[in-house]
Amino acid sequence: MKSRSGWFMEAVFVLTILISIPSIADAIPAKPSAAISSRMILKVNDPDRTADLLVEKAAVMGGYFVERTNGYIKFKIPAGELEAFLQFSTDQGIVLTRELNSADVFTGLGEKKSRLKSKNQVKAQYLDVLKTARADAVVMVEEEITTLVQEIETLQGEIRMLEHRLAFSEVLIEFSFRDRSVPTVHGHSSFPWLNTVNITDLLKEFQYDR
Amino acid sequence: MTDNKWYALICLLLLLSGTGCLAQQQWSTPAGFAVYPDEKPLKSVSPDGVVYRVKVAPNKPPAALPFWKEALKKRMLDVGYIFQREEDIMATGKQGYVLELVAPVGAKDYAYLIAVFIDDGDDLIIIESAGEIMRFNSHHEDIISAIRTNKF
Repeated sequence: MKSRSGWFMEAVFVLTILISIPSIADAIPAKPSAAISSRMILKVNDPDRTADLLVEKAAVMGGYFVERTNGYIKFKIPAGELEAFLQFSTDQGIVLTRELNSADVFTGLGEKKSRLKSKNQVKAQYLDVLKTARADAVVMVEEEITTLVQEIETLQGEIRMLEHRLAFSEVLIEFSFRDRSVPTVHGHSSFPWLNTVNITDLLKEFQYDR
Repeated sequence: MTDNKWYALICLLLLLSGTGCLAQQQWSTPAGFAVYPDEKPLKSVSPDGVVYRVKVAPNKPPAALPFWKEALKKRMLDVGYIFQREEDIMATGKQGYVLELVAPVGAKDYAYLIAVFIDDGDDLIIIESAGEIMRFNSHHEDIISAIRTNKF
């Protein structure tokens, strides 16, 4: 016959295994999702005025700006409004470069939700155990519950963050190149005339003209 | 010289000019640009500093336009220019290629356009134009129009 503390230790062992095996069904959401981010370099006559316009537009769409300097502005835009916001931004000036990136948060989010569910189940079972635990086991169970609660709160925070990344796309609009390195003046092309084609020499020729 | 000889000479001249033997290269400059008078083939500048230049280089090694399109684009991107757009273009019946790039110059960002054609004499016609992006953009249509109306 096992003692009560023996049954208790076995219960803790089984519960610990449960935590480490997330449910596969929970890891597959109804539809796959990805966090979208976009970056563009937009040339405009008046960056401040344009930034103001973009902030207004973002607010109307339910978004907001998270960072703003003289050289760039970063937004969080509802995913469903991203295309319209990018089009509005494009209409404000000349787009020099534009990137659209997609990050898979589906796997991470599904896994975290699954782990959260498992941990909540384990917590409920610990609470059941706590009701019948002997005095010497109560402290141990309470410690386990405390640890679980911390892990659950951390997971909840991470899930909220991932869900926010899915719901709000990040848009970075720069008004100038951050990398200011000038292209190489003289290349090493096998074709001589190509080595003479560069903006530096062209501008210099006009600058020092007679 | 008899009347017949004059008549024959005039016919010959008309024939030669009609076949292009006497045709001369005619370079167009974008509307509103001032031309440097002593610079050949052509150099001009807009009041707000957008520059435009035509130059001629030997087509060496002799190659067709598709070859130079690829070589030009590869070289410019390799040395650090940022691609913006490209297009095939016709200048009075001759096929050419326009490559538009951007690059930082000092504290400003500049547009840099390069057009290339191959003339009948196996030379390359290279047209370059550059300026601060917003200023350049305001002349873009005139620049493309000038490129289209060159005769060579």
